[in-house]
Amino acid sequence: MVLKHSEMKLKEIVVVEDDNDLRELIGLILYSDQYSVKLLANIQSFDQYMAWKCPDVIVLDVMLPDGNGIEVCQKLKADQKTGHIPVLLMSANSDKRISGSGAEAFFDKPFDIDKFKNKVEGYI
Amino acid sequence: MYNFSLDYFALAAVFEGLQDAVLTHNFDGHISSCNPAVTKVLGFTPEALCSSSIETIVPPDLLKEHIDLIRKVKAGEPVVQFRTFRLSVTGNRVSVSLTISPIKDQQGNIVGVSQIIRDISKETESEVSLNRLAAIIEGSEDAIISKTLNGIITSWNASAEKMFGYAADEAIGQPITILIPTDRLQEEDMILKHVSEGRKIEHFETVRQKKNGELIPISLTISPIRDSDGVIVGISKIARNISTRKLAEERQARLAAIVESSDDAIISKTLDGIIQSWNRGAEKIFGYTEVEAVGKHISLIIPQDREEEEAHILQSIRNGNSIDHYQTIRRKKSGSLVAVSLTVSPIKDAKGSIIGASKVSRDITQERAGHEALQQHAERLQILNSIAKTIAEKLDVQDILQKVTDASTRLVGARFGAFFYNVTDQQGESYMLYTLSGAPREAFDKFGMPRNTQVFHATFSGEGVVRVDDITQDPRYGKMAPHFGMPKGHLPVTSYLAVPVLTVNGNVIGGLFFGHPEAGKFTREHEDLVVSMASHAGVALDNSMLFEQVSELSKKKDEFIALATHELKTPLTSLSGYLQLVRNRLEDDPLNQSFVEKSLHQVKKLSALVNDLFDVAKIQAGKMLFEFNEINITEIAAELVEMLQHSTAHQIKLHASVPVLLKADQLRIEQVLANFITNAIKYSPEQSEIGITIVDTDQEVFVSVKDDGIGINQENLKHIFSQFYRAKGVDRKVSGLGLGLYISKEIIERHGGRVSVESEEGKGSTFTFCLPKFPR
Repeated sequence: MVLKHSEMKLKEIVVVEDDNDLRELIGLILYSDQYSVKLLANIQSFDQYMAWKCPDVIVLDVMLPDGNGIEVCQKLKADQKTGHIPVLLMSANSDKRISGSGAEAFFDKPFDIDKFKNKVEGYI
Repeated sequence: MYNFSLDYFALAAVFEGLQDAVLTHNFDGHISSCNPAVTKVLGFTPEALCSSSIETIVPPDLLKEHIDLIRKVKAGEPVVQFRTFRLSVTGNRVSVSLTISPIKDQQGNIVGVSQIIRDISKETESEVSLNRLAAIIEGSEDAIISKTLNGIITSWNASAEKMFGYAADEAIGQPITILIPTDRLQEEDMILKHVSEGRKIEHFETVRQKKNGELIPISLTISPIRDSDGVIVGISKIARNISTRKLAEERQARLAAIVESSDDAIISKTLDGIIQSWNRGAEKIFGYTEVEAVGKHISLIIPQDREEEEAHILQSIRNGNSIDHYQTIRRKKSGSLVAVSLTVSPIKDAKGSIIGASKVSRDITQERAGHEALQQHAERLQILNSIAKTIAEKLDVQDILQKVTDASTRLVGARFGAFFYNVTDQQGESYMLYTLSGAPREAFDKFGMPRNTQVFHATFSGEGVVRVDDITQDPRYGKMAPHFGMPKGHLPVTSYLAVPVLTVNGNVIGGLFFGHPEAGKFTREHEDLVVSMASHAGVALDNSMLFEQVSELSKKKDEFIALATHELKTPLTSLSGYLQLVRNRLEDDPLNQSFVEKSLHQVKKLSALVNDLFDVAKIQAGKMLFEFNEINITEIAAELVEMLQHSTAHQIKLHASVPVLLKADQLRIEQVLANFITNAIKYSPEQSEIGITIVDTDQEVFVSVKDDGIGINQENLKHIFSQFYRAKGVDRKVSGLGLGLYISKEIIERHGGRVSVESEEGKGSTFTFCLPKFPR
């Protein structure tokens, strides 16, 4: 069951990145009063989160300890309930940006933080 | 009158006593008188002839001649010694000479004729025979020579001239010794002695000398010549040139010897197939003696089912055609069959008509067995080679196992074949793969793997080959519980052959097993074949194992590249991100800002190096992936120029404005173009111009980056696109691993395009890449 967002509620961006420093950095980059950022370290916690929430933007690392961000993205896009949520993939391996992931954007690591922030905020 | 009367009687006495027949007749043909000699000449009695017609003694075909003769005489013209024929009392024609005179009356009128008929048959005969003899002598192909008892040549015929080369006038009057070689002169004494004694010499073969000195073999027949009193007055000599006959004789003798001594059966037969000759070889091959075979029909030695064949052969012979090396089967006297090779030729008579057939049969049983063995051997070798080749190309273990099993089962003629193969997996656990031939998989599934029984031990321990005519009788068989032999329902194996399969290092990796329900099916040769097959299989399996290891390594390498990229990039990403955060917060601290900028620049370079390294790794692993989309190369170039222009003082100019569309991986093409432009920036002086041109042809797009830099010398040009190559003699200030152009070349070539460079030292360089607009 998905909770409906109230008008009062802040928009939410969920970030899945296993590297602690990088996750923290992304948290810092996206810090804002305009929306809330949920930082997650693996797919398991992401799945638990998604069972209860419906974020406005999803930022996914590709290489995760318990799975592959591309597959997660494909699953989200195939699901009627989540298919509309913009997904932004990040990878250290540019070859991973294969078509068919369904993601709205793809960022090579390392990336320019300003461009990254602009891109993510562009989906809100 | 007296005188007349005396005359009359005298004449009558003469008339009566004449040897010749005398008769008179009038013109009616009526015989009025005849003398007694008519009996001697024609056999008629005078009484019988008197009062008959003269035509009685004229042969009917000569009647006209007779009438003409009489008419002639009547006209007063006498007929003297006219040769003709008259009939005897027995009706025989008698050669006669006629003298016909008119009989006149007292007034001188011719009233009749008198005919004197002389028997000349004896005369004619000897005359004819003499003529004939002379003709024969002249016409004879033999030289006919006569000589005196002193050896002087007295006659010489045409053939003598031809044979000895002397003309008749050269030879006559010469001693016979001109013809006799000096070493044979004593022969002549012997001949003279012999003939003088009245004896004839027949077919005396000797040698004589021609005028030109050439010696010729001759056969002499020598007879004495006697005069009418029987006295030997000379010698006749008939010489026959026997050189050709001699040759023919020798040839025949030689042929006969060959025919008799030949191991081949040589048979001649009539066109009806009746055997006419039969040599010793025929006796040896077919078992029938000459006596048994000659006169019989050839079907004597033809098996029933091949009788038609003989009709074909005879037909072919009748048409004058030979049959060469026709391989067929014939039947011996014993009834057993024999493989023969036939050569049949027509036999022609002197006129060239085909009168029979000669037949040479060679027993090719041995030859054929040898030939078949050879053929079989060749066939097996071919199977072996083709299998060896096939499995050498295969890298899939199961496939190799099946191919080897099938082929070797076929090679040895086994009813069942199996290949058991030990595999050790990644976890170090070993298990067995197996393939079967000649039996369904279910036939084996229920039995599990062959265990280390005494029968199998030799194979799986690599001791060697086990080949047994009857495994159930083998001492190693049936020693193990619970089955004590083959389990119930096992394929019926009697003949057993098992060969271990070893790796190159000699480790047993499996075994080939063959079975046949009948005993004694596997021979030494089969064993050799399987051993050979097993060694090929060993090599192939070794290769496949290597391949699997390499595949495994390759997979690991790919995994490593991905992981390493991730592991290196993650800290770089953090570093870069935090530095950017710091930069954003250092609003009014120019010195610190420049420090941060430098750090960021180094991070970027590090990141680029990591990217290059992994690009190369991906290229080498064949793992660089491309995503082909429609791109606008002009737009890409424009964006790149704009971006790069910010970081340099060079004048980067794009000489293109029209959109050029093509199918390519946008990021990779950007990478290449950026590489070309950054190289141009690196190797040309500041402020100088860098020109980018885009040329669009029908099929291809050419993108060139031209600089006015230091250029590249010829030596460096050759290697410029090689991996890790850095221009020699170039200042080390220029950083990089020397991978950029190599990666660019790979990217372009993977797009089906080409890279090229033109350069002159000190003047500058132009790098161009060309891409197909519609890559396959």
